[in-house]
Amino acid sequence: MSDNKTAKQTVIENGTEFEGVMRSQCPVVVSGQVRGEVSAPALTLTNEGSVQGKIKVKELKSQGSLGGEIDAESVELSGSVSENTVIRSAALEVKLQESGGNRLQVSFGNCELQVGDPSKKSKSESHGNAKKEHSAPETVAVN
Amino acid sequence: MADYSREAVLDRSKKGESLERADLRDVVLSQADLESANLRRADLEGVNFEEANLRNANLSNANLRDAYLANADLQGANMQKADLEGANLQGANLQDADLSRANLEGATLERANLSGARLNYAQMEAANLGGASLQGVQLANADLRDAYVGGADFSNANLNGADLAKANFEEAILAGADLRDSNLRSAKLNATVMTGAKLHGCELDVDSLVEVVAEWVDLSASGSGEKTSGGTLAEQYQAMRSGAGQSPSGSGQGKRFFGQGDVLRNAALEFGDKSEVEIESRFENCSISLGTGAVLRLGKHGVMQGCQVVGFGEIDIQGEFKENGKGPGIVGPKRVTVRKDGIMSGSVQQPPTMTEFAFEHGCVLRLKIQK
Repeated sequence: MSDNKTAKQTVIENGTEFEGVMRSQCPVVVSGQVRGEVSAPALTLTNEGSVQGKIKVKELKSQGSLGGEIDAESVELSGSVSENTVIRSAALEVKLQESGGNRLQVSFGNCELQVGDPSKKSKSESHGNAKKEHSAPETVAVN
Repeated sequence: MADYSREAVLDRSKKGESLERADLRDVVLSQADLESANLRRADLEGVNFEEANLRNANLSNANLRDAYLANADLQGANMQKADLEGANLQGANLQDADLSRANLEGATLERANLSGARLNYAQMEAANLGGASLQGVQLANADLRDAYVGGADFSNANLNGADLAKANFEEAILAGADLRDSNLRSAKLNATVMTGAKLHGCELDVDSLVEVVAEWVDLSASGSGEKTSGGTLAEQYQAMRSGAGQSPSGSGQGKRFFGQGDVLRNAALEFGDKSEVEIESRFENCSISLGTGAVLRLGKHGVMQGCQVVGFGEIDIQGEFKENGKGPGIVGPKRVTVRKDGIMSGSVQQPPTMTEFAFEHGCVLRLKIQK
């Protein structure tokens, strides 16, 4: 990966509100507020940042407030996830906060997470010493 | 100088335009119609909102220090993490409002209606809640030290884990309230009604129970409504503290292991507080109850299919958890961790205090999270 490409960033600063469609070929950093559609190779939300809408990115890192319909290859989450959010991703990482009095790293509203491919990893069929009555589980529904 | 005049505020609110982060200090907004207004992170320090209509308004993270909100209508408002230190909310309607993690230190909430409101982790030290209606309120882990709550109605409120030390509860109603793991040390309980209150793990001065009015209380760990009988309330409480009065579900401390190759179907299992359970077997259509602080580890060979796990425990999934779609597979957990090889397919119904989630890179999720 070229350093020049990664050096350029689209930055939405704290205090800036953006509403509409944003398509960028550079990584996007949001400290302000975005409502609408974001498509970029990478999106980073600082703890002040908020993006609500449709997000299509390769890499998403959020410490802020996130909501809507999210498609990504990898997601790292902290901060908060709004109501009625759907996250579709090949990989998701949420860590527990180890320091401070409050251990809640992410707060989730009513939301849906579709992460990874269940058909590749299902353990049900290969369960050790599985007897005849252990019928293979039904396929996991993928929305 | 404020960002907007009163007229401009009302105009923007009427048009549905955001007032987020606006500086509105010194603006008089008494009797203003600000229903559903977006005032998130706004600076409202000392603002006069007397009798204002703020129904369903978004006041999350707003600065409302010393604001005057007497008789304001805040029903359904979002006031998460708002700073209301020293604010006056006397007679305000806060029904079903969300004040989770809000700072209400020294605030006046006398005769306010807080029924159904969420105040989990709220800071309410030295607040005045005299005569307030708090039926069914969520106050889990809230800090109410030194608060005055005389004559307030906490019927069926959730005060689990709350710090109520030195609070004055005289003539308050705590009937059916969940006080498990709360701290009532040095609290005044004169003529406090506690019939049906859940007191397992509650720290209090035994002498103060003499003043309490209660036909029965629930001392079970599960808080399932088991009635105490025999002896005075103080004797029953002391028996619970020494362990003799615990229900079987509360005495199951210890470790359980279900090995690889075993199959368990249609079973109902109860694991007590702080117990540890490790499952490498296959569980089908089982109903599992976890006590507070219990840990259930689904090992890498473990499979739970069509099962339901209920309780404020910690669930660690390295194997596969798959519900049958009939209801949330996990209800009220303190923490859910899905490890890198883990698979979780189903839904999690969070407790009022919200679940701590951890997902490792590589896990597979088809997960619905319900608030």
